[in-house]
Amino acid sequence: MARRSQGWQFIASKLGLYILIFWAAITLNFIIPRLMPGNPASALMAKSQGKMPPSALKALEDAFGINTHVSLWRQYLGYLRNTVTGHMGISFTNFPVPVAKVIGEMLPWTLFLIGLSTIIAFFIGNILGLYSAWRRGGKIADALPVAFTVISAMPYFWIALALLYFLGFSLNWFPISHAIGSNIKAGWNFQSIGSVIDHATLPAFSIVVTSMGGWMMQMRNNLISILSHDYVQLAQMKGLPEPEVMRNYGARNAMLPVLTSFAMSLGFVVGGAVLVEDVFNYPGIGYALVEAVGNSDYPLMQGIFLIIVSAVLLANLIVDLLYTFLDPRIRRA
Amino acid sequence: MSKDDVAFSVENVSISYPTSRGWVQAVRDVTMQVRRGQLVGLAGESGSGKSTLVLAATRVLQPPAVKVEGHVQIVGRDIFKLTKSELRTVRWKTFSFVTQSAMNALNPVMRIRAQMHDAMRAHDPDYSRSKADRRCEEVFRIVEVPIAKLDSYPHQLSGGQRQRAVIALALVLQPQLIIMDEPTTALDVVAQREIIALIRKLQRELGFAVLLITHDLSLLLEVADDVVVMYGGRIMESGPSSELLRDARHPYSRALIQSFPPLHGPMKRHEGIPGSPPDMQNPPPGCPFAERCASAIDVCSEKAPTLVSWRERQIACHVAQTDVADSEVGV
Repeated sequence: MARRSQGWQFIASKLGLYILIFWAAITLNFIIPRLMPGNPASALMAKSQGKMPPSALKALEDAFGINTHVSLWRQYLGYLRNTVTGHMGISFTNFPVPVAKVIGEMLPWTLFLIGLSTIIAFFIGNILGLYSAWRRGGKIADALPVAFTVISAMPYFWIALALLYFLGFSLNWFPISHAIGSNIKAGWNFQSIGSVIDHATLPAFSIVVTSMGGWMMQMRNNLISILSHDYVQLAQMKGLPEPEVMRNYGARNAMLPVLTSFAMSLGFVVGGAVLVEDVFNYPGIGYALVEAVGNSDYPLMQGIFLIIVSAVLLANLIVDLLYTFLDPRIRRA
Repeated sequence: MSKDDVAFSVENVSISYPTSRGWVQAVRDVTMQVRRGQLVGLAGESGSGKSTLVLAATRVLQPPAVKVEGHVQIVGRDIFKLTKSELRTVRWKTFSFVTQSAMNALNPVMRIRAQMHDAMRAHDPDYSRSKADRRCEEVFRIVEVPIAKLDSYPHQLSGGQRQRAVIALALVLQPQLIIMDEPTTALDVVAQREIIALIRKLQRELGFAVLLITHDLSLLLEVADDVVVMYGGRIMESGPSSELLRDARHPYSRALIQSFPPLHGPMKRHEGIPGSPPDMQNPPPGCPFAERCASAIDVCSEKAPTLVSWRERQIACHVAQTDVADSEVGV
């Protein structure tokens, strides 16, 4: 019983810590845009290049819910209330669509494309890393890190552009932009799913190829250092079959630090891959962020940052809790 | 003595490591044996080749990491002639290990029970969970660790308990030989003595043979049946420990005994051995100990002494051999 209540105490203390971090992050998210000169309404006024009458400024401020006469403290309280209740204001790139709706439309594409490619890269990378460490000294195993160091050194968008040019533009095997054919309505049918996969192949491939190397190197290095431990040697001395030594005494221990990075990268998935989405005109969060920055769309930027912060924190929290089950040393005695 | 009496025999074994400057010989022409039910000590400073000898003899160190010559037999099996899968089945069932750092010998993310079960599962065709559980409890009782600790993770045990758990793991398949490489290094002095006493007791009760590797010669002389003293990859002196304790002949054995306090006895000042072990990259032409030896004579640094038998023991020392010859003449 004592043990169980200690477990709950541990989880509660973790949760408390994460709520504190979340509060710090959203507070920064509130302060930083307000430290920038001007406000969204004046940015829009400036963009109209005098075509709007000065009286429109007040109307815009009202429409955006910005009132510079309200004290910063009251604005902050209102912001906190809106954040907690999910009101993120109105995007003015897409005026008058609420930010929540814009993000709601972009997010599924990003989750699909970046999420899937991250998971694929993680699995292939780790399997190659395990192989490369276990068979160290072999030709293929030792060639893998060299090959992937070269590939990982190539910039993301450069590979994307090369793929786009050769496979998309010259050979015309894959579409060169958007997430789905313009004449196809998204839905659960073969035509639609086929088109989505067709559009996702090149961007996904460019992400997998460039990020796989990192996973491979991390796993390889972890496993090599684990394999030098005495308990691996003792497992071999015990006469255990090699695959069992590899699984229970090598991979299992090497996996632990990798999980943290994996959860972090899953958290960053919602941020989208700005460059890849931009190159492929893929309608995801990364693309929306570029648009928002270009148009000084502060509500949309704030909304996207809020989503990223929440996702990264959530992913970290899950890993923290998962760790207490996977690594007995983390559990408090 | 019949061949069946021998648990572990090493014949003319030499071991070399590859380095960037060619092969370095870590062990040179060593011959020794452990009879069934015997506790034999292998003593020497760090770098004397004692760990290399047992790791290579049991094929834990394998080519291309080392080059090994000679013959090794463990309970009648010719170790160097076994195939990989034969070796795997012989391991732990015939001979097991208690490794140098018991602190790191157990996987930190597996329960101790699981780390004992997998050894049994790998060797017992009729492995059953309940049978294995019973055996785990039995060996934990033997090494005097609370049975509840079976379901602990290694970090939840004290240093002494962890060492005992590693010994329990070595006992689990009832091997005829247990090789213990510095089993007490990481422990405090009180726990060290307890562990050694436990090993001696178990070894007498259960009848397995032990090869105990340590640099603490005075300890070995009190618990071991036979002692082999190594230095610079060679055997310096070997024989029954009672003989060596009474009258160590090799200056190196004497120096080693001097450098550790005995288990019992009056307090006195202890001297270390001045100097450091020879550079194995460029081994000296003569006796490896000559440079640090207080009683060295001219021939010592020119010609390596051969190991000669004298009464029940063997000695490789020009000085001791002359003394012995003189005393024999005198008799």
